Amino acid sequence: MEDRFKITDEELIQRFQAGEEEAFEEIVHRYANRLMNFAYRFVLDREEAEDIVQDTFLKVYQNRHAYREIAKFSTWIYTITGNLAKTILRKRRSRKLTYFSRMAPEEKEIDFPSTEHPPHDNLERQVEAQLIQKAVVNLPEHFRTVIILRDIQELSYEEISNIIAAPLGTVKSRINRARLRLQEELEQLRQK
Amino acid sequence: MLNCYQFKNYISSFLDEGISLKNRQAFEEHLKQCSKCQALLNQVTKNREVMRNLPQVNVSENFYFKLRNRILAAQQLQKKQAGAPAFSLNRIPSFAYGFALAFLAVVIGFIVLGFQGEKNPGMVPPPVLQSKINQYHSPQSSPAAPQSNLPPQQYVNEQAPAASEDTLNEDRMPERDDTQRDFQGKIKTVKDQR
Repeated sequence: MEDRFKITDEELIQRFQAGEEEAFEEIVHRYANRLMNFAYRFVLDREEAEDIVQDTFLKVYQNRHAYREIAKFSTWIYTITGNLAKTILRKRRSRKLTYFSRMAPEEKEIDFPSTEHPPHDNLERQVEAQLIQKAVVNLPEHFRTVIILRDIQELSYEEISNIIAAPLGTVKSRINRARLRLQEELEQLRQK
Repeated sequence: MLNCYQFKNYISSFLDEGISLKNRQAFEEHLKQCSKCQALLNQVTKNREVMRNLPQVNVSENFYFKLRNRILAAQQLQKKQAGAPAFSLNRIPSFAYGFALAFLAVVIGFIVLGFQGEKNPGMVPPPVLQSKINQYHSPQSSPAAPQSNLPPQQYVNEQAPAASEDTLNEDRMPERDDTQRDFQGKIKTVKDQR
């Protein structure tokens, strides 16, 4: 059991490429919740987020030999999830339905996950968390991606640069602009 | 010394500790003097903290079960595809059969018509068509007709000596209509009056 945690992600995928099915199970256990959290912040729908994560693992399973050890495994798998999430958003837009993100804030019925904060956590903090989630949803797609990856998933600038396939300088300035834009969105939401 | 616009550009570098020493000093100098920028930095820092502590969203209990089933289904499909023969009648789309039947019907139609044509080699064209063919092959219109140095009227007179002038004209120009004939009659009348 202890040995299992010493193995890096890259070693696990190598083992899986060599035919060890248990290595894939370990990858799923390591990444399922992380990817779910990422996908959920993107689409703000539990079912869709879970479908995205399932599709991600299915793609990893079927295209296991497409991974080359030139990038970190986490970068590769986050890229797959991010692309699938963007596809979902594009499909939503093309269908021209009324979506959660397009509704006025007061119309939204957000299915926020149950807070697992300790009892001393006050109501004000919960309200602030909900407000920030609303503001993140209102951000344009390119700002939403980087702010989720940086401030929620806490990935490094280099990893984000690899995931969104943009130079490091672009990533830095985009994250800064996304944070400033988020603050503007929050001010607008507070005024309403 | 930075202005407010430059200060905003350095906020993330400052928070993520990616700012150079020189820029950091300029950033902190501006921060001491500008209350608006102080408030902005506090807000952005707070937002970042709240986002880092957002409640974790986990996959449902039956997630692993569903994934296992999907992987098994994908494996079976792969095996099926690998074991399937390269050519199978089941792979041909149904509309292709329709096209093939239509093509076959056209080919059979051509063969049958051709066979009937061989059976009746002496087929005679309809009478209207036959008269047109005869007109086309008549000596006046035929390009292969022998050319004479005599004027047309003399040539006609040799062939039909008893014919009147009107009859001659009719013979030479069978396609001339009634309007032309009336017109010629009028000319004749005018000549007679003179």
